[in-house]
Amino acid sequence: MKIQYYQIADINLAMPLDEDLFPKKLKRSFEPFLVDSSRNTDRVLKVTFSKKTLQKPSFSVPCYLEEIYPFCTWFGTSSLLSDRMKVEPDEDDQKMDYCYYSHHSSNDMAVCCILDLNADEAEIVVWGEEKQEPCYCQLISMALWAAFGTWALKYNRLFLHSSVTVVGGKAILFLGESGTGKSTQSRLWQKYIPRSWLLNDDSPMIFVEPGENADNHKVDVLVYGTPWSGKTSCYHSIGVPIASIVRLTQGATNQVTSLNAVNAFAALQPSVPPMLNSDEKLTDYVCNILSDLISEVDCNHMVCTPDREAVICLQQKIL
Amino acid sequence: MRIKERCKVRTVAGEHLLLLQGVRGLQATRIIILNDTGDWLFNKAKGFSFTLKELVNEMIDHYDVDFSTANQDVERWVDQLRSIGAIEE
Repeated sequence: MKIQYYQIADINLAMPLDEDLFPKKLKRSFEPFLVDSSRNTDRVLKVTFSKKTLQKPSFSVPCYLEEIYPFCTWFGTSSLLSDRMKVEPDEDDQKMDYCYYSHHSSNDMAVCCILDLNADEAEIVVWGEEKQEPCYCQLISMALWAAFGTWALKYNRLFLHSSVTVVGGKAILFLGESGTGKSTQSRLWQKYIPRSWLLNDDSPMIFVEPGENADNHKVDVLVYGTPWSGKTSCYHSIGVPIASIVRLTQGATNQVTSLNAVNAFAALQPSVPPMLNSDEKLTDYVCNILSDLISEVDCNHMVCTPDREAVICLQQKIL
Repeated sequence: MRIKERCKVRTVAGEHLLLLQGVRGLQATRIIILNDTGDWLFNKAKGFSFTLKELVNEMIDHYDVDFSTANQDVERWVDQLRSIGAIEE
Protein backbone atom coordinates (compact mmCIF):
# COMPACT_ATOMS: atom_id res chain seq x y z
CA MET A 1 0.00 0.00 0.00
CA LYS A 2 1.22 3.48 -0.86
CA ILE A 3 2.53 5.44 2.09
CA GLN A 4 2.00 9.20 2.28
CA TYR A 5 4.37 11.48 4.14
CA TYR A 6 3.19 14.55 5.97
CA GLN A 7 5.61 17.10 7.36
CA ILE A 8 4.23 18.78 10.48
CA ALA A 9 6.42 21.13 12.53
CA ASP A 10 9.41 19.92 10.51
CA ILE A 11 9.01 16.30 11.65
CA ASN A 12 7.15 13.63 9.75
CA LEU A 13 4.09 11.47 9.91
CA ALA A 14 3.90 8.50 7.52
CA MET A 15 0.50 6.96 6.88
CA PRO A 16 -0.92 4.51 4.36
CA LEU A 17 -3.23 5.99 1.78
CA ASP A 18 -6.19 3.83 2.61
CA GLU A 19 -9.51 5.27 1.43
CA ASP A 20 -11.32 2.79 3.59
CA LEU A 21 -9.73 3.74 6.89
CA PHE A 22 -8.60 7.32 6.49
CA PRO A 23 -11.69 9.49 6.02
CA LYS A 24 -11.83 11.88 3.06
CA LYS A 25 -12.87 14.77 5.26
CA LEU A 26 -9.71 14.38 7.32
CA LYS A 27 -7.56 14.27 4.21
CA ARG A 28 -8.38 17.91 3.51
CA SER A 29 -6.81 19.05 6.76
CA PHE A 30 -3.70 16.95 6.12
CA GLU A 31 -3.24 17.84 2.44
CA PRO A 32 -1.25 21.09 2.98
CA PHE A 33 1.33 19.01 4.88
CA LEU A 34 1.95 16.41 2.15
CA VAL A 35 5.61 16.06 1.16
CA ASP A 36 7.71 13.97 -1.18
CA SER A 37 8.57 10.80 0.71
CA SER A 38 12.07 10.47 -0.76
CA ARG A 39 13.27 13.54 1.17
CA ASN A 40 12.15 12.29 4.53
CA THR A 41 13.87 9.33 6.03
CA ASP A 42 14.55 10.48 9.57
CA ARG A 43 12.26 11.77 12.31
CA VAL A 44 9.27 9.83 11.01
CA LEU A 45 6.37 8.49 13.03
CA LYS A 46 5.05 5.49 11.12
CA VAL A 47 1.33 5.04 11.61
CA THR A 48 -0.56 1.93 10.61
CA PHE A 49 -4.30 1.39 10.69
CA SER A 50 -5.82 -1.93 11.49
CA LYS A 51 -9.25 -3.40 11.70
CA LYS A 52 -8.26 -6.14 14.07
CA THR A 53 -11.17 -7.65 15.85
CA LEU A 54 -9.89 -7.39 19.34
CA GLN A 55 -11.64 -6.48 22.50
CA LYS A 56 -11.70 -2.88 23.54
CA PRO A 57 -9.07 -2.11 26.17
CA SER A 58 -9.82 -1.51 29.79
CA PHE A 59 -7.53 0.38 32.09
CA SER A 60 -7.16 -1.37 35.40
CA VAL A 61 -5.33 1.50 37.10
CA PRO A 62 -6.66 5.05 36.84
CA CYS A 63 -4.50 7.01 34.43
CA TYR A 64 -5.64 10.01 32.47
CA LEU A 65 -9.39 10.12 31.93
CA GLU A 66 -11.26 12.86 30.13
CA GLU A 67 -14.99 13.01 29.59
CA ILE A 68 -15.91 15.69 27.11
CA TYR A 69 -19.27 14.87 25.59
CA PRO A 70 -19.72 12.82 23.44
CA PHE A 71 -16.28 11.27 23.88
CA CYS A 72 -14.71 9.44 26.76
CA THR A 73 -10.92 9.20 26.55
CA TRP A 74 -8.21 7.31 28.42
CA PHE A 75 -4.46 7.62 28.14
CA GLY A 76 -1.70 5.73 29.87
CA THR A 77 1.31 3.47 29.55
CA SER A 78 0.95 -0.13 28.53
CA SER A 79 1.54 -1.38 32.05
CA LEU A 80 -1.79 0.19 32.88
CA LEU A 81 -3.60 -1.90 30.31
CA SER A 82 -5.31 -5.08 31.23
CA ASP A 83 -4.28 -8.20 29.32
CA ARG A 84 -7.50 -7.95 27.32
CA MET A 85 -5.66 -5.53 25.03
CA LYS A 86 -3.03 -8.16 24.38
CA VAL A 87 -0.15 -5.78 24.79
CA GLU A 88 2.82 -7.98 25.52
CA PRO A 89 4.66 -7.15 28.72
CA ASP A 90 7.83 -5.19 28.09
CA GLU A 91 10.73 -7.55 27.68
CA ASP A 92 13.12 -4.72 27.24
CA ASP A 93 12.97 -1.87 29.75
CA GLN A 94 13.69 0.60 27.00
CA LYS A 95 10.43 -0.15 25.28
CA MET A 96 7.82 2.44 26.05
CA ASP A 97 4.27 2.05 24.86
CA TYR A 98 1.54 4.60 25.38
CA CYS A 99 -2.07 3.78 24.81
CA TYR A 100 -4.79 6.24 23.86
CA TYR A 101 -8.36 5.05 23.77
CA SER A 102 -11.47 7.04 23.06
CA HIS A 103 -15.06 5.97 22.51
CA HIS A 104 -18.27 7.70 21.55
CA SER A 105 -20.85 7.68 24.30
CA SER A 106 -23.93 6.90 22.23
CA ASN A 107 -22.73 4.55 19.50
CA ASP A 108 -20.17 1.77 19.24
CA MET A 109 -17.48 3.83 17.51
CA ALA A 110 -14.12 3.79 19.24
CA VAL A 111 -10.46 4.17 18.48
CA CYS A 112 -7.35 2.87 20.17
CA CYS A 113 -3.84 4.01 19.41
CA ILE A 114 -0.75 2.27 20.70
CA LEU A 115 2.37 4.39 20.43
CA ASP A 116 5.81 2.86 20.71
CA LEU A 117 7.81 5.96 21.57
CA ASN A 118 11.23 4.42 20.96
CA ALA A 119 10.41 2.55 17.76
CA ASP A 120 8.66 5.61 16.25
CA GLU A 121 5.58 3.54 15.48
CA ALA A 122 1.91 3.92 16.20
CA GLU A 123 -0.89 1.50 15.49
CA ILE A 124 -4.45 2.73 15.28
CA VAL A 125 -7.30 0.29 15.73
CA VAL A 126 -10.82 1.42 14.92
CA TRP A 127 -14.26 0.11 15.76
CA GLY A 128 -17.32 1.22 13.84
CA GLU A 129 -18.38 1.05 10.22
CA GLU A 130 -19.61 4.49 9.17
CA LYS A 131 -16.32 5.77 7.81
CA GLN A 132 -17.51 9.18 6.66
CA GLU A 133 -19.46 10.02 9.80
CA PRO A 134 -18.25 13.21 11.53
CA CYS A 135 -17.62 11.45 14.83
CA TYR A 136 -15.56 8.74 13.10
CA CYS A 137 -13.37 11.47 11.54
CA GLN A 138 -13.06 13.12 14.91
CA LEU A 139 -11.97 9.89 16.61
CA ILE A 140 -9.25 9.24 14.02
CA SER A 141 -8.14 12.86 14.15
CA MET A 142 -7.90 12.76 17.97
CA ALA A 143 -5.92 9.49 17.94
CA LEU A 144 -3.44 10.92 15.42
CA TRP A 145 -3.20 14.12 17.47
CA ALA A 146 -2.49 12.17 20.66
CA ALA A 147 0.11 9.92 19.04
CA PHE A 148 1.88 12.70 17.16
CA GLY A 149 1.76 15.10 20.13
CA THR A 150 3.29 12.52 22.46
CA TRP A 151 5.96 11.39 19.99
CA ALA A 152 6.89 14.99 19.04
CA LEU A 153 8.09 15.64 22.61
CA LYS A 154 11.23 13.65 21.71
CA TYR A 155 12.07 16.36 19.19
CA ASN A 156 11.37 19.31 21.52
CA ARG A 157 7.99 19.98 20.03
CA LEU A 158 4.87 20.57 22.03
CA PHE A 159 1.20 21.20 21.25
CA LEU A 160 0.03 24.34 23.02
CA HIS A 161 -3.74 24.87 23.06
CA SER A 162 -4.03 28.37 21.62
CA SER A 163 -5.12 30.61 18.79
CA VAL A 164 -2.21 32.00 16.78
CA THR A 165 -2.21 35.25 14.82
CA VAL A 166 0.74 36.29 12.67
CA VAL A 167 1.62 39.98 12.34
CA GLY A 168 4.63 41.21 10.40
CA GLY A 169 6.13 37.71 10.23
CA LYS A 170 5.89 37.14 13.99
CA ALA A 171 3.33 35.12 15.92
CA ILE A 172 1.18 35.99 18.92
CA LEU A 173 -0.25 33.00 20.81
CA PHE A 174 -3.49 33.57 22.71
CA LEU A 175 -3.96 31.10 25.57
CA GLY A 176 -6.79 30.70 28.03
CA GLU A 177 -9.48 28.50 29.46
CA SER A 178 -12.19 27.35 27.10
CA GLY A 179 -14.55 30.25 26.36
CA THR A 180 -12.14 33.02 27.39
CA GLY A 181 -11.99 34.43 23.88
CA LYS A 182 -8.74 33.14 22.32
CA SER A 183 -10.31 32.92 18.86
CA THR A 184 -12.15 36.20 19.43
CA GLN A 185 -8.88 38.08 20.12
CA SER A 186 -7.32 36.47 17.01
CA ARG A 187 -10.29 37.57 14.90
CA LEU A 188 -10.11 41.12 16.30
CA TRP A 189 -6.45 41.35 15.26
CA GLN A 190 -7.33 40.20 11.76
CA LYS A 191 -10.13 42.77 11.61
CA TYR A 192 -8.16 45.78 12.86
CA ILE A 193 -4.52 45.08 12.02
CA PRO A 194 -3.67 45.07 8.31
CA ARG A 195 -1.95 41.96 6.93
CA SER A 196 -2.44 39.92 10.08
CA TRP A 197 -3.59 36.32 9.55
CA LEU A 198 -4.57 33.18 11.45
CA LEU A 199 -1.96 30.40 11.61
CA ASN A 200 -3.95 27.96 13.75
CA ASP A 201 -7.00 28.18 16.00
CA ASP A 202 -6.59 25.26 18.40
CA SER A 203 -3.46 23.09 18.42
CA PRO A 204 -0.37 24.72 16.99
CA MET A 205 2.96 23.10 17.78
CA ILE A 206 5.85 25.00 19.32
CA PHE A 207 9.51 24.17 18.81
CA VAL A 208 12.38 25.37 20.95
CA GLU A 209 15.92 24.65 19.92
CA PRO A 210 17.28 22.66 22.86
CA GLY A 211 20.49 22.90 24.78
CA GLU A 212 22.53 25.39 26.68
CA ASN A 213 23.04 28.38 24.51
CA ALA A 214 25.66 31.05 24.73
CA ASP A 215 24.31 34.52 25.41
CA ASN A 216 25.03 35.74 21.93
CA HIS A 217 23.44 32.76 20.23
CA LYS A 218 19.89 33.45 19.12
CA VAL A 219 17.78 30.40 19.85
CA ASP A 220 15.08 29.33 17.41
CA VAL A 221 11.62 29.46 18.92
CA LEU A 222 8.92 28.74 16.40
CA VAL A 223 5.23 28.02 16.28
CA TYR A 224 3.94 25.77 13.50
CA GLY A 225 0.54 25.32 11.92
CA THR A 226 -0.82 21.75 12.14
CA PRO A 227 -3.70 19.69 10.70
CA TRP A 228 -5.52 20.18 14.02
CA SER A 229 -7.21 23.56 14.24
CA GLY A 230 -10.43 22.98 16.18
CA LYS A 231 -13.61 24.17 14.51
CA THR A 232 -11.75 26.54 12.18
CA SER A 233 -10.48 25.16 8.87
CA CYS A 234 -7.05 26.72 8.98
CA TYR A 235 -4.19 24.45 7.98
CA HIS A 236 -0.84 26.07 7.24
CA SER A 237 2.36 24.10 6.87
CA ILE A 238 4.64 26.86 8.07
CA GLY A 239 6.71 27.80 11.12
CA VAL A 240 6.79 31.39 12.40
CA PRO A 241 9.02 32.96 15.11
CA ILE A 242 7.08 33.74 18.28
CA ALA A 243 6.74 37.41 19.26
CA SER A 244 4.68 36.88 22.39
CA ILE A 245 2.53 34.45 24.35
CA VAL A 246 -0.53 35.99 26.00
CA ARG A 247 -2.74 34.29 28.57
CA LEU A 248 -6.21 35.85 28.54
CA THR A 249 -8.76 36.60 31.22
CA GLN A 250 -12.00 38.40 30.45
CA GLY A 251 -12.48 41.78 32.09
CA ALA A 252 -14.14 45.19 31.86
CA THR A 253 -10.96 47.05 30.89
CA ASN A 254 -7.70 46.10 29.19
CA GLN A 255 -4.44 45.54 30.97
CA VAL A 256 -1.29 43.61 30.01
CA THR A 257 1.19 42.36 32.63
CA SER A 258 4.59 40.81 31.90
CA LEU A 259 5.14 37.47 33.60
CA ASN A 260 8.33 36.35 35.29
CA ALA A 261 9.60 32.83 34.56
CA VAL A 262 7.66 31.02 37.28
CA ASN A 263 4.39 32.82 36.55
CA ALA A 264 4.93 32.23 32.84
CA PHE A 265 5.30 28.51 33.55
CA ALA A 266 2.06 28.56 35.56
CA ALA A 267 0.34 30.44 32.73
CA LEU A 268 1.49 28.04 30.00
CA GLN A 269 1.22 24.72 31.79
CA PRO A 270 -2.62 24.50 31.73
CA SER A 271 -2.50 24.83 27.92
CA VAL A 272 -0.36 21.72 27.49
CA PRO A 273 -2.44 18.67 26.48
CA PRO A 274 -3.39 17.30 29.93
CA MET A 275 -2.65 13.69 29.01
CA LEU A 276 1.02 14.64 28.59
CA ASN A 277 1.07 15.57 32.27
CA SER A 278 -0.28 12.19 33.32
CA ASP A 279 3.04 10.40 33.02
CA GLU A 280 6.34 11.22 34.69
CA LYS A 281 8.57 10.69 31.67
CA LEU A 282 6.33 12.82 29.45
CA THR A 283 6.09 15.54 32.12
CA ASP A 284 9.91 15.69 32.13
CA TYR A 285 9.87 16.41 28.40
CA VAL A 286 7.11 19.00 28.81
CA CYS A 287 8.90 20.83 31.64
CA ASN A 288 12.16 20.98 29.69
CA ILE A 289 10.45 22.41 26.62
CA LEU A 290 8.46 24.96 28.66
CA SER A 291 11.57 25.91 30.60
CA ASP A 292 13.48 26.64 27.36
CA LEU A 293 10.46 28.41 25.89
CA ILE A 294 9.89 30.84 28.77
CA SER A 295 13.59 31.68 28.89
CA GLU A 296 13.40 32.89 25.31
CA VAL A 297 9.91 34.28 24.76
CA ASP A 298 8.00 37.24 26.14
CA CYS A 299 5.03 35.91 28.19
CA ASN A 300 2.16 38.09 29.34
CA HIS A 301 -1.14 37.95 31.13
CA MET A 302 -3.87 40.10 29.68
CA VAL A 303 -7.22 41.14 31.09
CA CYS A 304 -9.21 42.02 28.00
CA THR A 305 -12.48 43.17 26.48
CA PRO A 306 -13.77 41.60 23.23
CA ASP A 307 -13.24 44.72 21.12
CA ARG A 308 -10.77 46.96 19.29
CA GLU A 309 -9.50 48.49 22.55
CA ALA A 310 -7.95 45.14 23.47
CA VAL A 311 -6.05 44.98 20.18
CA ILE A 312 -4.68 48.51 20.57
CA CYS A 313 -3.67 47.86 24.19
CA LEU A 314 -1.74 44.67 23.37
CA GLN A 315 -0.22 46.13 20.21
CA GLN A 316 1.28 49.00 22.22
CA LYS A 317 2.69 46.62 24.77
CA ILE A 318 4.29 43.96 22.58
CA LEU A 319 4.98 45.29 19.08
CA MET B 1 4.51 11.14 57.04
CA ARG B 2 5.93 10.85 53.55
CA ILE B 3 5.97 12.71 50.27
CA LYS B 4 3.50 11.34 47.74
CA GLU B 5 4.99 9.14 45.06
CA ARG B 6 3.90 11.31 42.13
CA CYS B 7 5.55 14.49 43.50
CA LYS B 8 8.71 15.50 41.75
CA VAL B 9 10.81 18.64 41.76
CA ARG B 10 11.72 19.92 38.33
CA THR B 11 14.08 22.71 37.40
CA VAL B 12 12.25 25.26 35.29
CA ALA B 13 14.04 28.45 34.24
CA GLY B 14 16.51 27.93 37.09
CA GLU B 15 13.86 27.52 39.82
CA HIS B 16 12.97 24.36 41.75
CA LEU B 17 9.30 23.76 41.06
CA LEU B 18 7.30 21.14 42.87
CA LEU B 19 4.42 20.02 40.67
CA LEU B 20 1.47 18.03 41.84
CA GLN B 21 -0.72 16.95 38.95
CA GLY B 22 -4.46 17.21 39.42
CA VAL B 23 -6.25 13.90 39.74
CA ARG B 24 -7.17 12.47 36.32
CA GLY B 25 -7.17 15.85 34.66
CA LEU B 26 -10.06 17.12 36.75
CA GLN B 27 -8.11 19.41 39.06
CA ALA B 28 -5.60 22.05 38.10
CA THR B 29 -1.94 21.26 38.64
CA ARG B 30 -0.61 22.80 41.84
CA ILE B 31 2.85 24.31 41.87
CA ILE B 32 5.11 25.58 44.64
CA ILE B 33 8.57 27.09 44.29
CA LEU B 34 11.24 25.70 46.61
CA ASN B 35 14.36 27.62 47.57
CA ASP B 36 17.67 25.74 47.77
CA THR B 37 17.01 24.64 51.35
CA GLY B 38 13.49 23.53 50.50
CA ASP B 39 14.87 21.53 47.59
CA TRP B 40 17.52 19.97 49.86
CA LEU B 41 14.81 18.95 52.36
CA PHE B 42 12.72 17.49 49.55
CA ASN B 43 15.60 15.31 48.37
CA LYS B 44 16.26 14.15 51.94
CA ALA B 45 12.61 13.25 52.55
CA LYS B 46 11.56 11.83 49.17
CA GLY B 47 11.08 8.09 49.21
CA PHE B 48 11.15 7.75 53.01
CA SER B 49 8.77 7.86 55.88
CA PHE B 50 9.87 10.73 58.15
CA THR B 51 8.96 12.74 61.24
CA LEU B 52 9.41 16.47 61.80
CA LYS B 53 12.06 15.76 64.41
CA GLU B 54 14.13 13.61 62.02
CA LEU B 55 14.15 16.30 59.38
CA VAL B 56 15.04 18.99 61.95
CA ASN B 57 18.01 16.89 63.06
CA GLU B 58 19.13 16.35 59.46
CA MET B 59 18.96 20.08 58.94
CA ILE B 60 20.98 20.89 62.05
CA ASP B 61 23.63 18.36 60.94
CA HIS B 62 23.89 19.84 57.47
CA TYR B 63 23.31 23.55 57.98
CA ASP B 64 24.76 25.77 60.66
CA VAL B 65 21.44 26.54 62.38
CA ASP B 66 20.05 26.32 65.91
CA PHE B 67 17.19 24.02 66.84
CA SER B 68 14.44 26.62 66.94
CA THR B 69 15.29 28.04 63.49
CA ALA B 70 15.52 24.59 61.93
CA ASN B 71 12.29 23.53 63.61
CA GLN B 72 10.50 26.63 62.33
CA ASP B 73 11.82 26.11 58.77
CA VAL B 74 10.88 22.44 58.62
CA GLU B 75 7.40 23.14 59.99
CA ARG B 76 6.82 25.82 57.40
CA TRP B 77 8.14 23.54 54.65
CA VAL B 78 5.81 20.71 55.69
CA ASP B 79 2.84 23.13 55.88
CA GLN B 80 3.52 24.32 52.35
CA LEU B 81 3.82 20.80 50.95
CA ARG B 82 0.67 19.82 52.84
CA SER B 83 -1.20 22.80 51.36
CA ILE B 84 -0.85 21.39 47.84
CA GLY B 85 -1.56 17.86 48.99
CA ALA B 86 2.00 16.59 48.53
CA ILE B 87 2.18 14.83 51.92
CA GLU B 88 0.49 11.65 53.03
CA GLU B 89 0.26 11.09 56.79
